[in-house]
Amino acid sequence: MTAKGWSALRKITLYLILTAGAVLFIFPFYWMVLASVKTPKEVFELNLIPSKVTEASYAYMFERIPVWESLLNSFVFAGGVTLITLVFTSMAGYALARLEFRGRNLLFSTVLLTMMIPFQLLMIPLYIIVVKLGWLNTYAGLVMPVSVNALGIFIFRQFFLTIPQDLIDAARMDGAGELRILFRIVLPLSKPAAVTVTIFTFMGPWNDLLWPLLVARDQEMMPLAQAATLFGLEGQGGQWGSIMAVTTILALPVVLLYLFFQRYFIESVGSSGMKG
Amino acid sequence: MKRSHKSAYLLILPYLLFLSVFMLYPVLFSVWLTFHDWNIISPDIPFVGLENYQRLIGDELFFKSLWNTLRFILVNIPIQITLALLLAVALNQPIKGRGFFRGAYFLPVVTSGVVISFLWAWMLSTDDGIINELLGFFGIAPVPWLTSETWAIPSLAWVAAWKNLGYYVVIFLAGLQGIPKNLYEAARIDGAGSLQQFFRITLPMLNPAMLLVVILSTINGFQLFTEPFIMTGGGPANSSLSVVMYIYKNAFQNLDMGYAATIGLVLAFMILAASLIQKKFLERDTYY
Amino acid sequence: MKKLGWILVSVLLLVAQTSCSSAGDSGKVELTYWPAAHPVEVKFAKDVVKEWNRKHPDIQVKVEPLPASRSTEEVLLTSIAGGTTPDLTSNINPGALSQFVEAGGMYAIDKIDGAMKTISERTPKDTVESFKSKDGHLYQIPWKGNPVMVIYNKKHFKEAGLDPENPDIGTYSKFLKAADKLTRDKNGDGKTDVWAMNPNVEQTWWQRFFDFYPWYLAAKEGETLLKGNQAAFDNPEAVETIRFFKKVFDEGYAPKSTFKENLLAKGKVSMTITGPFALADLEKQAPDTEFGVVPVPVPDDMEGNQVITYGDPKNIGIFKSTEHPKETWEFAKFLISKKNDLKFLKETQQIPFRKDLEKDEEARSFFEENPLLRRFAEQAPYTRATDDSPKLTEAMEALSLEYQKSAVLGKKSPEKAIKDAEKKVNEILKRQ
Repeated sequence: MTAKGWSALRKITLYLILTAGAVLFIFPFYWMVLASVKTPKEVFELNLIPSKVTEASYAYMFERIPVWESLLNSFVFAGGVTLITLVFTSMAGYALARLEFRGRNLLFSTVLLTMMIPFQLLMIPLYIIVVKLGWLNTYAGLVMPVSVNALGIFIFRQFFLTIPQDLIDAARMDGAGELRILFRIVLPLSKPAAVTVTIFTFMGPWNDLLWPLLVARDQEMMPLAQAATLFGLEGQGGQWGSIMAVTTILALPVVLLYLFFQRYFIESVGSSGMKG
Repeated sequence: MKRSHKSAYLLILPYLLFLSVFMLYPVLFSVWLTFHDWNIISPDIPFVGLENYQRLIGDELFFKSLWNTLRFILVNIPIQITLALLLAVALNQPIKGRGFFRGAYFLPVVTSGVVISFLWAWMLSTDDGIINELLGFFGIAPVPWLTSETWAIPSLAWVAAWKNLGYYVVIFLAGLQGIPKNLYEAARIDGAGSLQQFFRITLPMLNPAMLLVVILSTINGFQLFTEPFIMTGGGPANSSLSVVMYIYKNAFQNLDMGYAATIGLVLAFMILAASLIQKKFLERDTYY
Repeated sequence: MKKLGWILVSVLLLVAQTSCSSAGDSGKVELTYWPAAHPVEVKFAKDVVKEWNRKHPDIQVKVEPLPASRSTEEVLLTSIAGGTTPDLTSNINPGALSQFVEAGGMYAIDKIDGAMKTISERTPKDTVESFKSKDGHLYQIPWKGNPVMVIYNKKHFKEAGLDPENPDIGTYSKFLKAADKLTRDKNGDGKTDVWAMNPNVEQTWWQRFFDFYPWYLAAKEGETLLKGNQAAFDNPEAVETIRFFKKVFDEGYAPKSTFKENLLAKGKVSMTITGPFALADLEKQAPDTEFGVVPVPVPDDMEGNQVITYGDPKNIGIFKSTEHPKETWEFAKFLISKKNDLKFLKETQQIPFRKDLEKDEEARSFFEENPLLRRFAEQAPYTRATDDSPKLTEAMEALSLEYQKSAVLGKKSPEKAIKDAEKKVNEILKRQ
């Protein structure tokens, strides 16, 4: 075979592998959405285009779980954690990057060290703390104990190190306090870092199951990931069509965000080492 | 400089508060719990010394869950590394649509484990799942993917690999792009073929990325919860019970907080030890 | 800077605020009631509460379906631990009750003035006695029972050449012979399309109340699993029970996987082991299919005896956390009034623990119209609950695991499974 032939063959193989990979990762999602709109009878058939699109599975899901309430809970849970994390880790990150103070190195080592503590070690004591605070079934209980992560501090610190000192000095000359400098000058210049922290912080609680299982005991406090799980596991209730409807709704917001901010997602999750 | 001092403390104060209340205190509390027997309701919390640790040593089910975790990791890592490496190398060629492919592989990474567990639980279901239907075309009898002791863990390991693969593709891709081009040129001049180049240059140069993937997969394996919780319930016959599920069971089914905390602490140490050991081994390999 | 501080403070306050329970206005009592999450039961609860709230403006009840979870017992136990119990629930499994009592979660009903009188007027004495705890107190208001029987598809029976009206499947060998005929490969592709039955294959402890346990009770004529604080089930009857289900799975009479749909309603199985609560769902999902009900089978040499089965009782419990035990009892009394018992019977097709039920005109005519439910009601006096032990869940879990290993997975002989289960259960019971 000629060199040209070899290279064409090589190219074809390459695209075959890549396409097979894409099918492997996208098809299951298509299969999920498909099942949620198929008629109950057709759910078990292998046709890739439904003969009839029906909202029956969605209707059944709405009948059985308070979808809107759960979605709201998910937003409050994930949004609350993200907001608190953003504000407090950027503050700590700024102090570590740009201010001199005693114990700075100790603090930074501590931050790095806490990255090594697995959540599984904390979950029992955190649960007990939440119980003793009377925070079961509250947003406070869901949000507070899992807010503020070391990674946020780390990322902000790295980014803040790159901000020109002149800008900060000029603001100080004008008599601005450090908080004001951080939120008015430094943070607006650090959008990439903020977006990164936002994305991986938001995804964690949105996708999480374990922590809500411990803390949200009433149906009306459950985030959607938890409500979907319990609905799907229930013996008599769920059927595959409606379970796929719930999981579609659960996946939708994050997937939509992902489609718009793909680059940021890959970068932020890539830099975080954390998976939901 | 003095002004800096004061505001710095103000700036780190909220973090310190969260750190001490929801991190440091719980760690100490956890250690304290392992020496006590508590159902969280009873007002008296007897000190039991090393009883919880003794029980752990004799606890068949704990070791079973540990064994399950190890099996999970041993199946999960090879699948993950092979496929991720394959896709990353393919993506690293001059091709059209790289963004699309990378984006597609990454989709499961951002999706909730809850979604993925239900989706695959259905696809792997013995009698009405698409996987067995497809295998049926090739005359393969239905495989009890999630309901047999043999297949439960490999199935979970596959699902976890599928979920995280895109993430590892990104790591490998970064690693590949960091390999200096002149190394390959030099090899070509020496007359090395593509395969030789791959094994003599690409693989060794990817060692740091490999290390990261192995460590992250191991940690991930030790923290396994959502997939077995949803897909198998830990069964059949506890063959897919993970350590974290076992903690959950002791704490919330039997209200045995002391024992649950003990398992949690041991698990934390194991994760730490595993990461350190792997780091040592693989890092040494890098500078052969 | 100041503005930002305020935003932060208000966010934190907002978050913290939700943790404070809303204190009702003075004088007005607010109660929370958790019914089982089953849709028809929730509807019943909401209707009853609506009427109650109208009549009692000063005692308002709020209905919250029991939070979903892998098991009701886990929810109630963790609620007691977390201090988030409601005032009352109507989904207490008497078998798990002593665990709740031990955790200090239950209010003794007999301490409420007049409660015992009302209860004993409604419920047969034996039933009430059987629900008393070891300390002599009554921590549960007897409510309803769901005798476990076998519901079958009449059309399938006819197709398989079995008598659809009075099938002769009362013994193990007759039942298994019928199962063999009922298991069919309709399209000839070598795969079973219709199974005879679908006993659950998971190791979840309470699933054994719908296969192993009713079979065992029937074979042992009502003897339960424990004696004193000791396991007492290492006997030939238990072994044969496991052997029965092992055969069902080995011969392929039942699928070895779990399904998310109601297989009986879909016509994918011919028989299901269940209680009357399944009827409402069957009517809704398969309105045109005719079903029949038979008691669970017994060993061959026991043919013709009265069959005793698991009663799946669910009772009403008042939690110690309540600030208004008297008002809660008043509401519970309303819930178990004759009028509401009849309403409950009709709407949920479940059987309240009420003595005069057969004599009541309304109930009688309802049974006339619903012969299936009548079969369950006739079985109701011949039922047993579970043993009363704070370690019940753990013990059942151990037994369930051995059952699964032998019957479903075929890893152990039934003899060995029962022996191992007894040993493990005794270890669990011994542990403090």
